Amino acid sequence: MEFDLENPLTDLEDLTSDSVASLFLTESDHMPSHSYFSSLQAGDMDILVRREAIASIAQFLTFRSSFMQFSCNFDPLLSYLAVNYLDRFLSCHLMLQPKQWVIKLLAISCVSLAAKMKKTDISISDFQGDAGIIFDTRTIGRMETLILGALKWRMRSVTPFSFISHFISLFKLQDPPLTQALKAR
Amino acid sequence: MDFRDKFKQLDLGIGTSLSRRPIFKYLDKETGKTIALKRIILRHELLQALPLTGSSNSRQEQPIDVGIPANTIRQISLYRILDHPNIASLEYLGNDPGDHFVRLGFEYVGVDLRKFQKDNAIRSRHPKLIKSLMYQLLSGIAYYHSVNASHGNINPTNVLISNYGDDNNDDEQVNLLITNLDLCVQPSYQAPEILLESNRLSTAVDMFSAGCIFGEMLIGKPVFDTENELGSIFKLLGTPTKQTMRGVIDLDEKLKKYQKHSPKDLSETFIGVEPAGIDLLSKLLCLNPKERIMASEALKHRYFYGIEAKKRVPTPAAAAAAEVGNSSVGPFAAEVGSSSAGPSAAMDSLAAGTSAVVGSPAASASVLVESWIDMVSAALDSSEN
Repeated sequence: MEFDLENPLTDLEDLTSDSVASLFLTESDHMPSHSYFSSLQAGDMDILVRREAIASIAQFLTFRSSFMQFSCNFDPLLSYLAVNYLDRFLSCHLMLQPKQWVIKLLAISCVSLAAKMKKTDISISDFQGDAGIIFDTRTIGRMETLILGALKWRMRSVTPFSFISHFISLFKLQDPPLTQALKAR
Repeated sequence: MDFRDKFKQLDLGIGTSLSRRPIFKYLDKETGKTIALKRIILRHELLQALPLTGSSNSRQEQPIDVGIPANTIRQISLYRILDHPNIASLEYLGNDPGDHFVRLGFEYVGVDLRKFQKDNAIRSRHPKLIKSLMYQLLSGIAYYHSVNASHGNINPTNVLISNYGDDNNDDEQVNLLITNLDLCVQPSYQAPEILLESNRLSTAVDMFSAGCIFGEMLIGKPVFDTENELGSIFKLLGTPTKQTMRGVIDLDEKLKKYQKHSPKDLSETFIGVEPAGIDLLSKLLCLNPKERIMASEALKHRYFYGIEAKKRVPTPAAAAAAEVGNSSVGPFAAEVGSSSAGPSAAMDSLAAGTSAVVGSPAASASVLVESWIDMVSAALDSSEN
């Protein structure tokens, strides 16, 4: 049950136009609602909440990599996935003036969920200490349940990364190494 | 909405679950669809109390971790995206109030394979029907494997047959669905490597189960014994040796208690089956998981020459989707327009994310700096040595 962010639906090498169409169709299930962006811009919702949560996510992940001494390079897609969950959660649960610890809890749960989806060997206790606030496992579990429910368990997110190989194939490159190099970016 | 408000329990139970509860079908009061429930436990402590057989969920190693088990999340999010004419779709998803388990409602049409064979003893042995059903079964399994997943629990209670009508109906019309309920079934349909307690769940285990089902369709009864499952497997296929099951498992100790058998000629057990069918069966029931045929290869086997993949029966949603794809420029352009706003908008949010990281509070910035210093000093150390 590996989950490949670049290829969430199937593992088939040749993406047919059919499967790209289905990617487009499912993508909207994996995005924050439309009003989310406008309400963020209009300042209806406190943009600081989002900013702070993302900062926490980044903090967890960078702390983790300093702890591990660059022996395991952290997957940048992991943080992207966590932020995707965060945005989708915030877009259906308006949080007005949440407490500091709620934001931290939300961030830590998003990271934990993303890590579980990516099969990253990560232990929450690794970065618990640095966060300043320590949550017990049960609290994190309940927050995870809440997020999973809000996201309707659609955790195999369709993200811009899913489209990369399709768009690259549109260039009709004859040169496989070049394709690989483009993907590597 | 509460589960009891949305669904009405139907009278007839369809079997007993692994935790010995009867499983019922439920009628969705709004859509009129029938579903069957599977419960997935969310708490580690409850999970450990369950017997560790049968269900793919419990058999896999569960690392002790915080919160919801990672396998559960991956499993359910996988069901969320599965979309194939031969795979039962997930119709309902809900937590119980105490968050002890998740209820998964899978579409349930027709009857399971056992009941189908019992009620249609003659028809179910029809070679053409068996071929069509096997093709659908393997297509479903191949789809599972194409998303890097294995089903892990293919057995007759998880194979639903529908649209069969009476004896005069066209065999091509009969539809097969793979579902994933945790029903008790005897004998087990598990591959020998699982019965030998190798804990590795691979896609090959599904292929062996498919072989068991194929054999059962051909002779009208389970291929292997209920009592002595491994013994009867070895009786038919030969007791494995170091050569036939190389590198799979440390066999010596475990095989001591089984009699030595040499493999039998399958065409003596499965009388009257065409040679191509026997060949496919032997490749599915291959003892060594590494040499067992893969689903995508099996579909190309000569036994299936002349059979075509089943087209999806258009459901309202699928029909609407098809319309979007095929219709004139107007709506299609609109569709692409709105969707392409998606990635770019998401890119924006990613950009916002990075800027937030840069502008994050001093605390995390200092962590960044520290980790950078750590890295540099570590690199210097290693270069000096």
